[in-house]
Amino acid sequence: MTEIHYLTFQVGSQQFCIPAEMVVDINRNCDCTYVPGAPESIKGILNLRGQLIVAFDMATTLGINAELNTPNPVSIIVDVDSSRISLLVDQVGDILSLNESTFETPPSNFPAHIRQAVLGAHKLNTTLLIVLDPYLFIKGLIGNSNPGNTSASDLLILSQ
Amino acid sequence: MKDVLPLLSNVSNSISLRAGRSIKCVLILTDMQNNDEILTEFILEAREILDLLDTEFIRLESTPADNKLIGNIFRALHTLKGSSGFFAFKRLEKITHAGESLLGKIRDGQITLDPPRIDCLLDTVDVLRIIIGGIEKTKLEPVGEDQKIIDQLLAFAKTQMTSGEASKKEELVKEVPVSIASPVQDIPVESFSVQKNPASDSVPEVSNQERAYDVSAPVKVNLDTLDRLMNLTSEMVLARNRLLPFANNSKDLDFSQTVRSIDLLTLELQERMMKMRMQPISTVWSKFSRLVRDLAQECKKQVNFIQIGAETELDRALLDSIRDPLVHILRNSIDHSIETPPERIAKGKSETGNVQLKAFHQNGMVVIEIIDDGAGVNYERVRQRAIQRGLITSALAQGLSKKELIELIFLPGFSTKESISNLSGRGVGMDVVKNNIVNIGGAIEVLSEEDIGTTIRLKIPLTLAIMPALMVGCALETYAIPQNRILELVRLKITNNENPFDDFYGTPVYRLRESLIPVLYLDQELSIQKTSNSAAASVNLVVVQSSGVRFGLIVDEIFNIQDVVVKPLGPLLSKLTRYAGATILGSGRVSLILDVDGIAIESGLVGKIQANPIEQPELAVNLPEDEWSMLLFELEGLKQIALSLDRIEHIVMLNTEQIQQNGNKEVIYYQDELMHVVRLQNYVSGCSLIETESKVTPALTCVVNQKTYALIVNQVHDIILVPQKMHELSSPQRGIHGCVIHQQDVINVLDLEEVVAMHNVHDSTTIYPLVIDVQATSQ
Repeated sequence: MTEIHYLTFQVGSQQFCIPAEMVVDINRNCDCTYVPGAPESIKGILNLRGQLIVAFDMATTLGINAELNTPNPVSIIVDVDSSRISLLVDQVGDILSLNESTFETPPSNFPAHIRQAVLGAHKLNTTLLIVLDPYLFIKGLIGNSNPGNTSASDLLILSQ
Repeated sequence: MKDVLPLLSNVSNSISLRAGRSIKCVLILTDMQNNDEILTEFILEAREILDLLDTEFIRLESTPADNKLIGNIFRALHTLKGSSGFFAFKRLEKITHAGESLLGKIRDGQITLDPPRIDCLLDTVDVLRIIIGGIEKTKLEPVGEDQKIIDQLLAFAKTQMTSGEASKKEELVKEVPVSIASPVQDIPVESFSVQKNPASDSVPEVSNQERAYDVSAPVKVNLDTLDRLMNLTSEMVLARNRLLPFANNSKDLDFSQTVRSIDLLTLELQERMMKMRMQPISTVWSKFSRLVRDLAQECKKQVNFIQIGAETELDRALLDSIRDPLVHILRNSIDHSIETPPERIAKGKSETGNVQLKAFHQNGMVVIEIIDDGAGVNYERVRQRAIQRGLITSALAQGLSKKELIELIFLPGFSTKESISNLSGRGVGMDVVKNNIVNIGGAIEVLSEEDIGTTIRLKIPLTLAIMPALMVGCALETYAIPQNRILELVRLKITNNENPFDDFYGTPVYRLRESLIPVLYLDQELSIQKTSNSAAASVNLVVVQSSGVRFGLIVDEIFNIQDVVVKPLGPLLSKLTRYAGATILGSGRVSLILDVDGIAIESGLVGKIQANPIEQPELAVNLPEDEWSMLLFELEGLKQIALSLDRIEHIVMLNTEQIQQNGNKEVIYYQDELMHVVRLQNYVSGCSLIETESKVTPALTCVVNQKTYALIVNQVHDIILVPQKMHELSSPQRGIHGCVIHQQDVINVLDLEEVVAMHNVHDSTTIYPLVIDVQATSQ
């Protein structure tokens, strides 16, 4: 039974997590340049120490709210498939060490379009912690058009 | 991994040597991934050897008795054979072996090298190259029949011997490939461990020999690693930038000193990194001697190929993109320009033609010249051809100058050659070359004298990664437009809320000097929500050129031109064709670089043009007409004076306080260049001599006799198109060439040569010689 470290973060009122080993950097440098014509989920491009980083607005990507509702979002830089992206979230939480045994894949009636972001969930005591896979929504973006159609209601149902 | 292959090849060589070539072993690696990596190494090495062989064979042709050279070639081929044996590439092995037999004879002095043999050896290299290419694609040796080339090699290897000896040797030679081939498949995997030990014993003596060839080989670095290192360095530079203010404010001496040393080290690191990206141009050129030789032979011409400045360095990305244009130009030179030996003798030239390839640095650009002493451009034929192809009317063609005729060569589908050879003349020609060069921010220039020769001059920027761009503002964001796409900037004042653009049935167009150009609003093209910009007092129009279409791009603000470092947007945004990349501004913010071509295509401008391709050349090139462009400006007391646009390099704003005295002349050091300041009003009739008081003054920079002059003017007005007919002045006026008529206005035309000549003889007295012999003084 191996334990995996997860970084939790908050978007709107929802808790999510990603594998902590993907995380390169967490900062408040969210001053990104808007790229007209880019998919809706992309907020713009950031400069991380001379490197261009595509920043995803997680609220739009996950279809939770129209916008992030904190005035001071946090940028989580993750390494995905040898390129780096930034996830703009409202707040960063703890790093949790979770056992593989509590992990569940999405149920089979899980909407297909959400699968482009959600890997599964960990059964916590009171709630389900949604595990995101940044690679999935990047892959959707490179391969096909706008994957960010995940709607909030679907996610809320999922975490009930 | 790098050392493994030569070692292994030595191993297999030495085995075959020890066992008297009767037994051949093969080492089979159990790890498949390892094998792949070794294979990649093998392909790289093989390519290197083939390139080397190409150049060395050509050298050998001119100095056939050079034993050291033959030895080198022999060793290189031998290494290749050894490595091929290791991978059980039987075709490679057989061919290299046959080549080796011929070379061995040559090395031992039994056979002298003659052109047919060189040809045969070069053909061999070609066949090897094809096979290597196949291996690279499929990881397997491609199937093919090489008996012909092998027979030829072997036949050449025996022809100069006595018949008895020859037949004996032939048997031996023929025997060998078979004996190599058959055991290869049969050797079981277990033989690996058995054969390895005796082999490694004998490695040192063989590798000594190999080292003679390997000595100067530089370390090969993966491009990816290099790029990453480059990136890290720039990150380091930025981190240093953040550190510097702390050091400046700190009172701790130790800390400041440490920061200073970090500062210096980073600077050094940065410079070294930039240098590392640079490669000598010889990496491209080395293959040209073979190309020229083959072409010359095919055209039955004699060509002496000279390379000068092969050590000139260029960014490696640029090197790739100049290869094809250079090959094309060389082909043209040899196929079209250089004459056949009888023709040359008839013209009183030496039998052998000269083609010179020359590279050097100039003004932060790399200049590459291809000079030949061949027939040159037949201007009359260009004229005829242009009329035949319907590119221009015959009436218009008669009035064209040589320079204008040369421009026609760059039109798509243009060729003066009557017959189409398989070398050149298929009509995909100089237009493609020009396009390639322009795309990397370069320029091309052709100078040609009939029967004397042609010089083609390419000007290439040092690096692709950095390019000058105009920063513009649109909807609160800053965008960069590559400068090489920009033709001009127009600022239109809006009075009474009038629309400055004409309405072409719904599509806005702008009258730019009597020609209509379509207008695009940048915010609409990028579909940006415009905030609020209702009452702008002026409109900024950036006139750009994209694949033959001129159009205006409307932006909110125009800032400055600066060198930007181009960074790709990455796979996530690569679908957005309107951007060429992004750059990081001094403030740390990211700014998008617009792709003018992409915008033109997305807006439908280019698609429409391409649907009607016949008209494209006319749009792409401003066909020489009876008109020329002049810059209209104002001097103190003289409202309208003009100078041909061709003569002007730049329009700059000079700070008059920076003008310095140099003897009795005024000079200014502007943008790393020393310019002679010429106050035009002192030299032109009709001007008043009042000194202007303003601190900043516009100036036109011109180059006359390789000196740069800054002509101080009062105000720059416009670019005008005027009829080329110059009206002579009844009595010669100082500094004025004549006058032209523009919309009923008489406009004086500046005589640049005369002004410069006057400036050069002008001493501190205010009495000017009234008549100046321009010819004498301008020398």
